[in-house]
Amino acid sequence: MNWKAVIGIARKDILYVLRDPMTLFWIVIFPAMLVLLSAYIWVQEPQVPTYTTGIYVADQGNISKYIIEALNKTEISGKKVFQITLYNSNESLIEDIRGGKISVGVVFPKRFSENITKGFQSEIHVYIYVKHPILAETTKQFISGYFSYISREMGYRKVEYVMKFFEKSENIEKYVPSNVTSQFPGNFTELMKAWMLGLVEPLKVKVKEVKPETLMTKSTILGWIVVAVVGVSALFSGLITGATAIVEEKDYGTLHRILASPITGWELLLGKTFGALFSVAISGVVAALVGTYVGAKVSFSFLELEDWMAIVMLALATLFFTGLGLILSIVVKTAKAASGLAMAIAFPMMFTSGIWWPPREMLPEPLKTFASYNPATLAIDAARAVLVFNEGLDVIVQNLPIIAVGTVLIYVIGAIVYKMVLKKHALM
Amino acid sequence: MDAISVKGVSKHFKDVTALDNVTFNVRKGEIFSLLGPNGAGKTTLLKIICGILPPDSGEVKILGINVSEKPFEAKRKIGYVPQESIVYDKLNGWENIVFYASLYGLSSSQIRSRAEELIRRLGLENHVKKLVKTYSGGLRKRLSLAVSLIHDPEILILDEPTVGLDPSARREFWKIIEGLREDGVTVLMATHYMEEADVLSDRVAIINEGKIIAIGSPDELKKAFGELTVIEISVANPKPGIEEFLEEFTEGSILVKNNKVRIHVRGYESSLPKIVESLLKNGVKIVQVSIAEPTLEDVFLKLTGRGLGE
Repeated sequence: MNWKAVIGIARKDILYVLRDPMTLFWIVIFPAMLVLLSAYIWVQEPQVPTYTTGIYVADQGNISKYIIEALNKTEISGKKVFQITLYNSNESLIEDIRGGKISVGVVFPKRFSENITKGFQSEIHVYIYVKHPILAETTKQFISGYFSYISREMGYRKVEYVMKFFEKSENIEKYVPSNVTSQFPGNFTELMKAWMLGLVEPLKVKVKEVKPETLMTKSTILGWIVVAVVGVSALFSGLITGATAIVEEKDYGTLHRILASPITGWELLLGKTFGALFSVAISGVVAALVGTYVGAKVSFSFLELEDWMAIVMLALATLFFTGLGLILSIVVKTAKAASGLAMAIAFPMMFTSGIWWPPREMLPEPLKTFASYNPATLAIDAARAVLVFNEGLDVIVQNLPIIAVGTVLIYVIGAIVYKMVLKKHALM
Repeated sequence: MDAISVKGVSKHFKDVTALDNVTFNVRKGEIFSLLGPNGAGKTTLLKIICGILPPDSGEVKILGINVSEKPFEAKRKIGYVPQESIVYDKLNGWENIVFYASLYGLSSSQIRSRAEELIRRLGLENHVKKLVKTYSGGLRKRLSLAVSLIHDPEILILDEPTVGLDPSARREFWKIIEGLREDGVTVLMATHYMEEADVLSDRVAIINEGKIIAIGSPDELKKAFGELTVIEISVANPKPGIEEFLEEFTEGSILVKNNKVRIHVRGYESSLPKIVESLLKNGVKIVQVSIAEPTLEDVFLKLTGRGLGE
């Protein structure tokens, strides 16, 4: 192997990259922009919802007034949740919801307070403005949860109220059949309270979110994005390098001169591949630097084997895409056409392979299956697991067979196609 | 041993025969030109000699090395300058030289000493640090030559080396080629410029439609023109169809090019007055009449019935 030639070709391609403003944009500005915009748009603190709420009260009692007062005072992180407007009729309230003037309508029907006071079930009518189904569903969930909470609180108040009668009454247990009381030894009053609480809320659901420590911070989400940007860079640089490897030299007019020199097709291809790896490395460093600036967590230690293996994973992803690009080169005749075709394939692939957004787990089932066997997706995921989530070598070892075999296979097929294309262009 | 030996080389592209049983040899230290019109098969032949294309049949040897059997060894002996520009616009002159030197595996010290010599010799000192996109056509050609000579080849192969150059740059380039011959470099050159082949070459092979139709020194080829005389008439208004009304006076061929009519005749004393009379009768204004020496283009015209530029 003539390594001087390989390095010479790579060096020439690198100089070309560094002196071409358009290429520099794609490998420096574009990844920086992706990280910054992602950090700004996607990685925000949770937003406090605000609902413009119309209320019509047909009820004559006080409980509806108390609830309205509670709605009015509800705040999250010091921000009011409900912006309340009172309406004179049910019709005008619904009309305003339809017109999008308010997002939530609440109607307290006649005898709302009376029913509650008497211990009956009381209705409350809630209207949700549905323009955007996902936003409407979120609103519905929030409002339902909110009134469920109020409903439970009312139940607890009623229990407290009833318990006062129990406490004041003497020997009340004698009115309860002995076969019932015998099942619950101990204080009868406490027993009754527990029983009534069971009526109010038969299921006391305690939800606790359990997340890995690393997933819970903004910095790791940003780290996820940084590695995704490197993946996107590998996708674009690899595909374009592969697709243009020959036609670019043909367009420059240098292909025949190179073919007249004592180098093999493999040496030319390797030099070009190293050039692509350099572009990806620049994008990776830019993404990591910008990511670190905005708070991303990407850790790399020169002493850790798994960290180096993560870099190898990213290099393999680049090789995979370079191989795909080489396969594409069979149908192109000019560098412009090759770049165009590579871009046309890279863009949909960016969103359907789990490399960028959405992540593999969120893809539709057929794409998820495809991504699960895509060596590049697996390689990028493995690199992310190590560099961002500090997982060990296991995650790499586990996926290595598919990554290595898939990448080598595609690259070798690409190299065979490349030799065919080289032969074809030598004739021209 | 010959520098280049081509024996029975044929090449076909689908139904088209690009080269048909081509055989010739280039001696060490000579400038050998392949003269022929565009599409004659010159570039294909050079690509086969350089090992870029395989021949369908026949063999090519470079200093005794069979190109098909030992392509890398043969390629190391050759410096090839194709017709198109082979230098990268976004690299400077020095970077281009270093790039091509790397393809031959030269060490840094080899590159430095050889490159400095070539830069000086080709007059690139003031340009070598500038990006090639700022170079003129002549400078590009000189840099192309430098990158092709960086590995100190014994044979230089040039494909239409002066196409696109102005006359002064062309003459300057010829001087460089002659200088290389003095250094013992063998030069094989494809050209469709008759003057270039005539001035530079020790020997010329005339190629047409994939076949070598004549080989010899320019003088030998011109002598083969024989008894014919060339009458050259400069006209003010070359009319279409001029060849037709002059056809009866020639025993050779007629070439109309750049307001000049060249007619091959046997015994100009009798035919010249008739030719002049015919031209005047057909409304052609004659500027000058002279008896010219045959050129390689006349030889080509005689052999093929058409001019080099057609």
